[in-house]
Amino acid sequence: MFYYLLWMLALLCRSSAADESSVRDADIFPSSPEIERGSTLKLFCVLGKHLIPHRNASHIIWKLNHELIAQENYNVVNETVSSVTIHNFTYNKAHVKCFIKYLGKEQLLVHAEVKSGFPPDTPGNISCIYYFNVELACSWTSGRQTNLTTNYTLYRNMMKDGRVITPNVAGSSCQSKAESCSFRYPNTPYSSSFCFQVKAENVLGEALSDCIPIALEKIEKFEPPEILSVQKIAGIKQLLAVTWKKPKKILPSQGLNCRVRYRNLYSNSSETVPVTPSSGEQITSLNLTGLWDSTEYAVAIQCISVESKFWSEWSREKKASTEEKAPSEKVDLWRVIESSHSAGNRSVHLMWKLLNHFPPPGRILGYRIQYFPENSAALKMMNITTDKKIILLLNEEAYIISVTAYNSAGDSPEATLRIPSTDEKTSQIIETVRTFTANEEVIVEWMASKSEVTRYVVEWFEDLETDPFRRSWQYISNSTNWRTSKKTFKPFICYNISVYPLYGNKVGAPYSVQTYIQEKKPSEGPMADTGIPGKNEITIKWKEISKDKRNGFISNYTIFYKPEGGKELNETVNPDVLQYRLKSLQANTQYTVHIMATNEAGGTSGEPKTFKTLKFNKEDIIFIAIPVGLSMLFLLVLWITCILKKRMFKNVCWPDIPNPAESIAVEWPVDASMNPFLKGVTSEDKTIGGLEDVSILEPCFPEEHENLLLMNRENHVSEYTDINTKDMINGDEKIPYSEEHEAAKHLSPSMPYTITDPDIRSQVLSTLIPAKKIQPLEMLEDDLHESQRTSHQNEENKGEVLNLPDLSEKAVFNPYLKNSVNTREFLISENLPERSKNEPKSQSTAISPFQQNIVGQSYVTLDMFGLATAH
Amino acid sequence: MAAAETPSAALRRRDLCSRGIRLAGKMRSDVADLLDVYVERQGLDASANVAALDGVPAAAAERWGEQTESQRLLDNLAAYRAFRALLTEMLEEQRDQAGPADAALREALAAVLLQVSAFAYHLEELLRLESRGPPGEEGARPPTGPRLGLGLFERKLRGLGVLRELAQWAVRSARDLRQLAKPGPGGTTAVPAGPAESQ
Repeated sequence: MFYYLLWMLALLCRSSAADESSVRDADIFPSSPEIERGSTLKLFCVLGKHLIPHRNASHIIWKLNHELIAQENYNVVNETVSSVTIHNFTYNKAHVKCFIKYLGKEQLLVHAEVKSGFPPDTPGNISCIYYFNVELACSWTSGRQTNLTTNYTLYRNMMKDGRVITPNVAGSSCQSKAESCSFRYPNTPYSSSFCFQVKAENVLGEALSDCIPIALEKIEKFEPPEILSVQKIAGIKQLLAVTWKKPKKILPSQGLNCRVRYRNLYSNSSETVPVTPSSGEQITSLNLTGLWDSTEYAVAIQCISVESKFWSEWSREKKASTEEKAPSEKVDLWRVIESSHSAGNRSVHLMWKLLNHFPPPGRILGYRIQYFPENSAALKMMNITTDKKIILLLNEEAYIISVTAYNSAGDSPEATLRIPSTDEKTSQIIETVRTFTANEEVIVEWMASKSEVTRYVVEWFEDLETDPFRRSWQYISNSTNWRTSKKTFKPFICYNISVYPLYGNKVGAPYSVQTYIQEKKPSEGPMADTGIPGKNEITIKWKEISKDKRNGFISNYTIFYKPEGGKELNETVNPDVLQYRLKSLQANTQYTVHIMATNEAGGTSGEPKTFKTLKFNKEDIIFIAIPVGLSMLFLLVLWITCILKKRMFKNVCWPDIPNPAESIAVEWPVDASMNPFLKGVTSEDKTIGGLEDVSILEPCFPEEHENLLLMNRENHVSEYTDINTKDMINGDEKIPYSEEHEAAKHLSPSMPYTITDPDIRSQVLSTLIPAKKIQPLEMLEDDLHESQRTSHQNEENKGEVLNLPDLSEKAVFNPYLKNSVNTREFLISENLPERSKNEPKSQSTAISPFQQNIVGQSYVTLDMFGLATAH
Repeated sequence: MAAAETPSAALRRRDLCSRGIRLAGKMRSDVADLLDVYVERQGLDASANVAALDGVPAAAAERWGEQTESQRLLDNLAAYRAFRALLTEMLEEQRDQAGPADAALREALAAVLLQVSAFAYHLEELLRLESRGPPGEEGARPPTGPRLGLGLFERKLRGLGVLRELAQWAVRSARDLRQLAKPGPGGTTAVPAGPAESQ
């Protein structure tokens, strides 16, 4: 309550001050309050003077973050001040905003960030480290999070008679906002009477811990000691002498404990030795014994006060090597003989390793390899290397090889091996080898046919490994099995494991097996390759998965195939089968096929492939093609026969039966008046007596039957023209050629036409058409035959036609017309008698008055006759 | 005196002595460092002679070997109480000095003052163990009148003399405490020699 009264007072003061100077929209009080979680929050918003009188405190609205606070929590203190009360404020942090609402609009005036939290708990677990003459660092726990700004003060008090005395000295306390604080040198006096106390305080209160006595000597931590030397002592093996100096900056008059760590750099193993330096000595020495020969060691030291619980850090390491000693064990030697690549020569890959005997051999300077033919030891040769391998190029003879390791102190015993000659045959002593795993172990077992063999070499290498030096081996004595950890082998890798018998200095023929120590399903599946599909079958091929992706022994392949929209089927085959013929497939159906390779651990499918079976197979096509082909052939033969024997067939099937009664060919010129049509024509000759001109264009289209027809027709015409030749010739001279020629051109620029003058056309029609009109069209064929029959007579008449010099000059009738059936004539019917106009259409002699350049102009061509004749 | 005490009291006494020796050693070390800083900051010559100063207890004792244990403790306590007052006075004089280097000097002075206070408390503890309560502090305060009239340089020299004498007292205190820690007729323990003794 007092708190709020205080705030009210402050507000009134501020309000009066604002009268004079404030030009801000508003102020909020308190501006950043921190309150206890769950308590009531009260805030005041004071409007700026310039907003009055248009707006006053009653226009103020409040929001908590983004939510409007209910009006009942507002209180208008006066015209410019509005307050809001929020009960049970539980937000860690929230914004209370003061808005002015005027004319329906909200405007943010000011806001306050409000935090709620808790008063501090009493700090506990005070602990310190006294870094001698560097700093005195203390830390503590503060208990529950206050969520409010909390300050901590660490007091370094003194205990006197069980009472806490706060020294009246500056620098005996330090402040922090975190849970640690440090006094720094030189403000790091030593006393065993100090006690440490922490006070935590925030706006809600404060808490003071007890003063915890901490004797600084018990928490002292100093710099590490300095190693002066690490060195071997001449003539003493497996020993190093270490000398170091105690740290300078430590609490005086106290004992120290140290420990020396020496790390074998060859094996990377380390050991620690405790040392208690004498109190009066600044320099301490220690002899490290039982070390490896010829081995480098790294030495480090750390110390601790006898009173303290904190060790110093380790000093910097210093390195030195022990005295050297000749290697005591011979090397573990093996070989891989490559087949000879030139006559008489072969590569022998020699490799060796050091046996893990104790004491270890120390540092090896190099290896000496000596070899000589078995039958001539005098030819000894020597190589020196620092590697653990070498390639020797030997001839076909048997060789004895020995390897020794050496260092500055001497040589190791010799390890020897015999390389057999190239023509040497060794018997198969190992009968069987099997591998299996049990309890994280790999076991290789074998059986030998000779019991006197007691030593063997087990050799193993990855199947894909081609470097002989990457092979591993193990000598086995007095046993026919070998057990090793599974970690010796990589999982999912195929290994070749061979067992060699050793008898005397000879190496017998190995027995080899392949094995996976652990399998997993193949990394990829086989890729299906479909051949040409048939109607109901297809051959699926695939390739073996590459070895590095098999991850195990392939036990089978499974071919999965599925018709579109159908059920998936499968076939399983042995691992040596790499193609399979799927049968009983549906014709004309799309299938999806994929192959799965399976090993002990599972199967992996390859990419699916689709194919579509055929609608017909070869047999179907043959069955269909043969009849069709035969039919075609038959028809072809028939057609050819028809063509060749057309006349014969015509005569057989449709024999010509002449009708003498209808024949006018003979009578026509002689007794034209006998024919009523010709009579008509004759009677009409008067009207066409004015035939003046005939224009004939080029003939073409030689067709036999039309020729015959035309020749026949020509015969008629020529006979008729004989009669009127003179008139025609005369007429010809009178008609302007260009006029008719122009008309012909307009009608058909490419086709030859015979165009007649209206008069002569009438005449021609009167002579020609009646000749045609006298028989129905179906009879024209008869005419044709008849004309053929009378061709000999026409031959005689032809001479007459051809002998029309005037006509040929004037091109009235083309002399080749008898051979050109496609000559067309415009037959102008301008002056035709009504009767002819009324002729049945089937006669194809519709004649209409000629009108130049009119589309659809009626005309009759001789082709039409020809066509009609053909029918 | 030591022969009459119980084993636990003897153990406690030995422990207090050894810690006191350590404290004296640390104090000597700190004062030596402070002397270097003081000479440098005050612009003095490290080899400057300072005559015996009024109110500063002298570490030298004519018949040191003949002193009783109680007398040693009482002399030490009186001396460190006096040094506490002298150092407080020096710290007051330094308060007017500004600058980070002066602040470091003040801080070092305050640390030595705290160290001296701690040692005085430690001696009081030992005296209580001797069944003799520590005397009151009234008589230990140094006279203040004459120093008020000293000039700045004289005050600096006096400060140098105070620190030098304090360093001597640190050495002497270590020796006194070793003397105290020596086993009596019934005692069996020994305290390792401190640096003060080795000098």
